[in-house]
Amino acid sequence: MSHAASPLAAFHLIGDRSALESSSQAPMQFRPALFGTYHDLSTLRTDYPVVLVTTPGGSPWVKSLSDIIDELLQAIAEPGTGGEETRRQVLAQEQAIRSLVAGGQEGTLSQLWERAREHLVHTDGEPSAIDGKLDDKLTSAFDAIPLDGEIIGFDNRLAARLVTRAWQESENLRSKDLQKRIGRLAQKLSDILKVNHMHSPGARQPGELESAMGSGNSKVFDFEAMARILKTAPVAEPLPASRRKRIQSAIDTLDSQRFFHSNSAPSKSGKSPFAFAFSECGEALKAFRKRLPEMAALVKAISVAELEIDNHYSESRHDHFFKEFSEHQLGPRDLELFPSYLIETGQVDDQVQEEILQILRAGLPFKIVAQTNDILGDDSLAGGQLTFGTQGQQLARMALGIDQAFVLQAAASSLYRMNHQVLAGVSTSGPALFSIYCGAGYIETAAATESRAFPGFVYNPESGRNQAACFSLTGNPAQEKDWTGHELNYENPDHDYETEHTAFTLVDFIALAPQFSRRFACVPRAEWGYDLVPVSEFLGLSGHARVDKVPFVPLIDSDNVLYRAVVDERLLDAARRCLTAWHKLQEMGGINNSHAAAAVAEAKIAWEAEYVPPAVQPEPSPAASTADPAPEAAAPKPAATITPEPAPSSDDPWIETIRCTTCNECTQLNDRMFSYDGEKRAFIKDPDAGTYRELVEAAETCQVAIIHPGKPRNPDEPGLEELLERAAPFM
Amino acid sequence: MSDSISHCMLDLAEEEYTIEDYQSAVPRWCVGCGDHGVLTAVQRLCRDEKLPPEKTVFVSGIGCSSRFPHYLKTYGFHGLHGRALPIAQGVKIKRPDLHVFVIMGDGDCCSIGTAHWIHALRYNMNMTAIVLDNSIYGLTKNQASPTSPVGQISNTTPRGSFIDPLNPIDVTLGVGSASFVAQAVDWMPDLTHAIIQAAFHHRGFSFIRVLQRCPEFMGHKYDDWVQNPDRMLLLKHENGLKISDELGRIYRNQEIHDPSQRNRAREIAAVSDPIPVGILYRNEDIPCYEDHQVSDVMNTPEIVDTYLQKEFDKYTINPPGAPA
Ligand SMILES: Cc1ncc(C[n+]2csc(CCOP(=O)(O)OP(=O)(O)O)c2C)c(N)n1
Ligand code: SF4
Ligand code: SF4
Ligand SMILES: [Mg+2]
Repeated sequence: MSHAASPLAAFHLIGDRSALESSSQAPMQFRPALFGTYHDLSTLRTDYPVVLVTTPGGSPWVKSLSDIIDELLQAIAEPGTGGEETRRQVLAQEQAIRSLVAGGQEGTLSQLWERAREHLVHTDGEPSAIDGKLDDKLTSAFDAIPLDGEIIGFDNRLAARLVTRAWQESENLRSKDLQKRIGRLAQKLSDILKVNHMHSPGARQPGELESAMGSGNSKVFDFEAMARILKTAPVAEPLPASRRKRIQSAIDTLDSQRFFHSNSAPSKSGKSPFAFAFSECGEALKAFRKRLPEMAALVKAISVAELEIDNHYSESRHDHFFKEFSEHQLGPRDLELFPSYLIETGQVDDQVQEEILQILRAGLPFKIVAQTNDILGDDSLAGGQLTFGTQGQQLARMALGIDQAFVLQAAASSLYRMNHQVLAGVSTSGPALFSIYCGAGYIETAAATESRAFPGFVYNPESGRNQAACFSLTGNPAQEKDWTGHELNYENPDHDYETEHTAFTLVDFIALAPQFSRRFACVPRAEWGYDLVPVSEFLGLSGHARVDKVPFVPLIDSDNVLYRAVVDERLLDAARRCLTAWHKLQEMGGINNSHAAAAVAEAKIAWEAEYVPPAVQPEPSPAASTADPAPEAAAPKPAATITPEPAPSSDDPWIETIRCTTCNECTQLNDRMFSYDGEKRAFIKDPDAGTYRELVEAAETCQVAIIHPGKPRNPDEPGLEELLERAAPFM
Repeated sequence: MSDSISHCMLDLAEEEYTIEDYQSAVPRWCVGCGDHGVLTAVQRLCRDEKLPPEKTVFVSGIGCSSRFPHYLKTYGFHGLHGRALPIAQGVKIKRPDLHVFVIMGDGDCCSIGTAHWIHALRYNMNMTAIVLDNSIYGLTKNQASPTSPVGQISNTTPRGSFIDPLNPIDVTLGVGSASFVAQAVDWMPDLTHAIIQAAFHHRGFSFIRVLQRCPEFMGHKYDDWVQNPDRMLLLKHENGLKISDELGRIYRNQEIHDPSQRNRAREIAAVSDPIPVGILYRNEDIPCYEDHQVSDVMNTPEIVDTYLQKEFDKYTINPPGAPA
């Protein structure tokens, strides 16, 4: 046992630093040891920056720069050494773009490509001939990239911009469909009015005739004469005035709607189209409510149009309904037609949280991005629990309870990898909440997910009817484990290489936040002893096993020197609660289900109690199997045997109705005796409605030979002997 | 309310139909002609699927079989010999909302109309095509057709036809984008009904060959099969036709055939005794021509006018005396 154990234990248990060696410092300049590998983050090939693709047709809506470059190299650089130069140059170009974005430059991929290219070509200092070649190479490489769009790096606005782009993508698709439908309906309605007009006497006036024929005909054609001739032709019945009015009013509503607009065709009403992106819940709700009457009018116009076009509008059936129709009758299916509302709230306070939950509960088609930048808070509590992470996670957890809302919780660093889920969220018909954590930088943000401080999950109520179909833990590393594990490689004082397996826990994440430094005591290598146990391991120890042990996390100082930082009991308690919360999430995601575990254990006990080893059973004798049919009931019957239907008694005439080909032969012979059923297949309706002779003749003429005449019903019918002989083949 | 208003309103307007709603003129086919049973099967389908008569079109060519549209109270187009398919395609492209059926004879489809047939398969437009194959030219009174058996005496083959007939199913299966291929016989109306129903529900071009009796010119060609159910081979599968118990009791000769197996389908198609009936091949993944052809531009009179004017503007006709 190390000589420093007791003072460290005192620090761990009650935070008493007084007895600590002066070398055991509070970690002001310290970072988690695993961060030692990352020196210059701007050169790290992470998922960011990404391109928000705006190239139409077939492209994904978002793509990371590294994915774009990888695919580009696949396409243009030949494998092996031949493509080496191209790979090096294009990767250098990628680095240059990364640096530009990290330096705050904005623009599209093509613009930044251009700037980076100029930078590379002109600062490389290589001779100009090579510069020229590089220049050409990079220009032609860019031409091989099939997409373009704004390129954005990892910053505080990333989540909002990403979700916004996904929302636009989904809304474009939706609005395109509906716009097409509305345009088609309006066109068809106008066609009805046009045909009506063309059938009217007015359309046969010389002027109208001339304009219908087009200019240039006036000299060669006498429209006066044509009008005189047509006057005598009969005109069609005009549309009733009520129908015309109804159609015209539907056209007007369709034409003047402000929910969908295309850039090519501005709204015919001249009013500007509605906007659907908001920064406050209240504003969005107000706009939504104000537009409800217009929504109802449009839904009504669409319904009327569809009925009119199919000629299904019945005034007696529909007038009353449409007269009463207002926004109160709009159902979720109707709301689905309309654009959804995007709300990007800033930090969520209690009031905003209440508004968000109210929207989610109401099932309104709002897509809400709520971002939090601080999940640790300050270290100000007196005696209570540290509430790490709970502020940020509370909203999404409450939203989960609402059940009908799509909920995505994620650190901003995971969003690119979760882009399908993001798109699914903005495309659902109901409300969606995106609860995002974004820290100071990419690594710090990713660390929140890595340490379970801010785990990711998706709940999509449209994916199915049960938890397994709806809930997923995507976005978390090592989903089935408590913590994520890593190899920590370092050099020891003897310059030997050492590898240690270490878990990245909540406490490691907290070590990033300077406000908690007083809760760590860093022990230099010289003082490490067996009493120091990693936090992940310490959490699993029973009370007894903990005696004389203190938990630590590995930290490094600004010179990358490794320390073991002992942590106080409060932090450990926070880590314990974080793990419990993670276990619950795991269960929701189908990992380590506690109900299932209990059920399996129970079943096992029951099975062990009842299990009797099978005795060798004798072959059942045939007699036994008929005498006792019960065990046989479960045995599968041979599939080929088909029990024949008992044929009707051959005394009565009958038809194999199912084989009748509706040839009319028998029904023409005697339609009181032979008749068709609902499927137009013949059957014998009344055997006494004709003679036996007719039955036999029918049997003979039936091409399919399915009529069976049976026995004569009247023994006095003449010529029976001969008839019976003829009937014999059909018995 | 779970559905949209317009759906509810349309449901309010939905009608129930009877077979009589689809019956028109009394058929003038010969007594015992196989076309009668197919007509009934089709009328049953229209009723079961509640096809609004004004939303349903039957297009045919010329032949006995092509009189079909006259006997249905829906829209119909009795076209030109061999040209039913292009007409049907024109209807479908302009009016994708209509249910389009095509009725052809063996001469119609497999002789004069062959080119259209092959390309209709390739285009895979969503419609149901039925070939009433009596192996003869019926309407023009007894000339050999491409499906006439060797030895068939007819007005054009007085010493008997001597080249092998063409097997329409085999040819169809040879076109890569054929997406639904089935064979039926007119004397098993319930099965014909089931096959046409499956074809109707298939999205794409469904091709059904119906072996059809022509007592007038083909005499008793199929009598042995008509009267002996054991000489029919029923193709069934959980993804194909499901055979009712009643039918299964009569037609006991059955094979489980997975309609996704194209090669097996070709083997089955080659069998002529017993006669195989059922769905030989189906592939839901082959895209329809309509799907490639989506245009956002509506063909309004204004658009048509703009396009025409643009074309006309490519040419200048100088009136006499004007500077060139
Ligand atoms: C262009 C053209 N060529 C020839 C004919 C003559 N003709 C009419 S029907 C027919 C063949 C009919 O046979 P099929 O298509 O098998 O129909 P079926 O009568 O057997 O049902 C022919 C050659 C025609 N009407 N038009
Ligand atoms: S004669 Fe035979 S096939 Fe024709 S209608 Fe009567 S039962 Fe049906
Ligand atoms: S000639 Fe043949 S195909 Fe034509 S109606 Fe008569 S039986 Fe039917
Ligand atoms: Mg024919």
